[in-house]
Amino acid sequence: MDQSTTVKKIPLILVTGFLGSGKTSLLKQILKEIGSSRKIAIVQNEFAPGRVDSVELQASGVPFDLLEINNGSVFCACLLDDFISRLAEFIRTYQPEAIFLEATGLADPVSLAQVMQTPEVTKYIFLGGVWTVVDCLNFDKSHQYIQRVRHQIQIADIILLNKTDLAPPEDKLINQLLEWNPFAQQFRTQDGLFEELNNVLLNSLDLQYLLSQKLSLHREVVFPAKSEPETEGSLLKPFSLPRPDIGSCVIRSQKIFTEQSIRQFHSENKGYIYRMKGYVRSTEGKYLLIQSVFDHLEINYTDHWSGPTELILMGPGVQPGAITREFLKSGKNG
Amino acid sequence: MMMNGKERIRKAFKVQAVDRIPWIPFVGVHGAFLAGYKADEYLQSADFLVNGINKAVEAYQPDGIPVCFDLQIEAEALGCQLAWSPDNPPAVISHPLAGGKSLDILPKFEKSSGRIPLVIEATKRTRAAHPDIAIYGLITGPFTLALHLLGTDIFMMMFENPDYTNELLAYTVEISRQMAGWYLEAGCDVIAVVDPMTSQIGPDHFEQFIHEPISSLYKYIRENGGLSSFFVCGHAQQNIEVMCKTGPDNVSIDENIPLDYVRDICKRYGISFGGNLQLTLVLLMGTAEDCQKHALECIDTAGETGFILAPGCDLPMTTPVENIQAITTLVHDPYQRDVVRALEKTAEEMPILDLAEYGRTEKVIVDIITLDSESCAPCQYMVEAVREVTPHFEGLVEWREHSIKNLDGVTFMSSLFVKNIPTICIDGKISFVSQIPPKQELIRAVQKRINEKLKLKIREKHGKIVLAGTREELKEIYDKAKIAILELGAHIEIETISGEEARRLYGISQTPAWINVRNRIKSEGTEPSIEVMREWIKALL
Repeated sequence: MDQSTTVKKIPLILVTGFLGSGKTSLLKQILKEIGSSRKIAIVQNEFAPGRVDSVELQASGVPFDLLEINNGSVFCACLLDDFISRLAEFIRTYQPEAIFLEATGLADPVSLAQVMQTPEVTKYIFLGGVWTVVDCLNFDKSHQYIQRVRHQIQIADIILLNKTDLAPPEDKLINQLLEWNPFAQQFRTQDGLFEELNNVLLNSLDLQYLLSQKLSLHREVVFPAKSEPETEGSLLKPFSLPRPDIGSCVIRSQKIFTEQSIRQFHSENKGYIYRMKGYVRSTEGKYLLIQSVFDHLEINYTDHWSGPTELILMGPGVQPGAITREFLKSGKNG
Repeated sequence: MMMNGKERIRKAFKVQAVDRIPWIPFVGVHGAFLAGYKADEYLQSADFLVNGINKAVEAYQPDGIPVCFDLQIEAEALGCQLAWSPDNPPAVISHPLAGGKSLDILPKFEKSSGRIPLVIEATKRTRAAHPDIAIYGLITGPFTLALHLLGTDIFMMMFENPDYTNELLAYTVEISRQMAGWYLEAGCDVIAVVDPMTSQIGPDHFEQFIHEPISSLYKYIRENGGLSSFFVCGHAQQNIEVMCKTGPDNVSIDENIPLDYVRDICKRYGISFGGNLQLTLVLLMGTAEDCQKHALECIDTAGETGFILAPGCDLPMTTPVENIQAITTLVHDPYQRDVVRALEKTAEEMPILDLAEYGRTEKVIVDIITLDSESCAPCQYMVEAVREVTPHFEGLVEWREHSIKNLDGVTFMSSLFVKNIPTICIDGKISFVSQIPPKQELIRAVQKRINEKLKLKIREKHGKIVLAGTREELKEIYDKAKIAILELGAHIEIETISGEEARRLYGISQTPAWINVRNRIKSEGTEPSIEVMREWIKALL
């Protein structure tokens, strides 16, 4: 019997951000926060001489399982085929409850998420979210001009404004981020630490919790007060909440879709797609910014995207092959 | 007139008419997979590279082929440390200019540096072995090489020290120029300037820093008789127009940029373009059918002129060979494109038939799956071949054509798991694929099936007699039965069982009893599905 049929999938959180933005610091804080109560695994494909990042993580003293990937190239996620088998083996061996994947600063996170759609790993994991760390100190100077930084921000669920102690974010920065990605939650952090970290983790790792909150849109999430006596200090316990059997899928397509076709797709599939977000290539060179949570679908036109359609879908009925075929049926070739 | 691959590529680069779409599978470390090496050993041996290329040419019949897809060759020769991998090209892990060090510290770049001698040797040998296909020399683009040398500091340097950035790019483009010259000398037709990191900057920075050096590089390539291609991967849509303005002969892109967008801009600039087969989801993880469907989408979007069908980048090492071969078939066989189109049109509403027991009729059934024998020449010849041989069998053979231009044909094709057109199935078994069989071979195949059916029939008729009763009751019957069998010249087994056993097995209430038992062979040499077994069991109830 295929083991996958009995194993509930675990969330994989993609941690992105340009080099030096503070991804490893964030991971250290996450380990401190939940590393002793949850079996956490970290996957790093940041390739640095002397394994600086992994050494730094290990210095935190909190137990975790680590998989280091040398994907051979910072350019192409397409060269990640060996990564799949290593990740699957890693999950089978260590059976973590959650995985944080720290992508290289120049990696294309959507390609990375797409590569993980292979059946070998989708039976174990679903994409629990994309967290992007923004370097406030260097944002104005250069980072906002690097296309990958922008891309990472645009597809984020959570944006962490790091180094705020060194460079408090100005309205200009906040507005720029909002313009690029109005749906992501923004948090201010110092060395990866922020007050709401535990709640954000709860939200991302225990999807059942999220589902029970009857949320409309992601950014409107209202977290339980951290000081509630029954939950204080122990919001996250091993298997504290049941995990639904969730699937996730990344659709990248060069086809052209209309607002109407997206609404129809959502309406026909909302029963088993809990979340849908991303950018859709539409007619006359325009792009649609899409965000749905349960029944609620929001579509806006945006000037801040170019390229193919990139959509991330999540839900109990999301099987990459079938849902992609269903979605693509409604598109037309350019 | 039929062109060879080199002519086809040259025409396509010049946006001139070609006899068919040119096709280039970008075989890099996939060559190691084809020839049975690890990526690291493959990229460090001229012999292994040549073996891999030869395997790729044989398997994929391309119009052009790269010698070595490794963007770390120049960086390594200039002192960057590499981390080698058995499954991927190496990664640069140290940047000698990190922090903005002077360019003077870099070693002299020579034809004898690093792995350059081995790639040049591999180029010469590939040229000699494959004179009719276009040989691509891939060089690291100046911006990507600058990033290798300086690290990500380059993004900061563009703001804080534009003079240093310009100096560095003037240096790296000189490296690119030298590499291009050596590749051209060794016999390359095309120099592909692979500069994926330009996708990280916007058009303003591109024009400020990249335009001039890279334009001079294309001019140099052209003056030295080569064709030039600007390879970019990643989200580089914002830069397509400024890339065209640098004057390459061709722009090659990956799946991150819509092909129709590139088509429209390149057409405006009179530049050819190539790409953008999806590497991961389709070529690596998809099926052969997915690959053909997707390749056809690319061809249909791009149009027939000034387009080169190619993957968006270096093929992943373990890309299934049958997937790339399926694209080769699509490119070389125009009928296959019609087949893919026809299948796509009808696939959605198609039911699948259970043909597990197809071919149990008295006659032998020959099914020919065609696109349409009136419009597809190979289909027509195949149908004619079958039509010609059937009279030899005097009514024992019946043939039918199933055109996949209609739903019934597609259903039949899919239900029999037929993948290619035209195909002959004899009693539901795929017998001849794509090739028209010689008359005698077809006769032999049909005759073989007739013989099989006859054998099966004879064996099915082979039954036994079961006599039930006590020894005394059966003594006389048994002897008489033996005489009767002898007189008939038959070979039939007689089995005796007790009355009690007869009651249990055959529901007999009185003895002596005679029972004729016929064994019916339901399957032989195959493992029937559980559904089929269930049906057979039901027949016994």
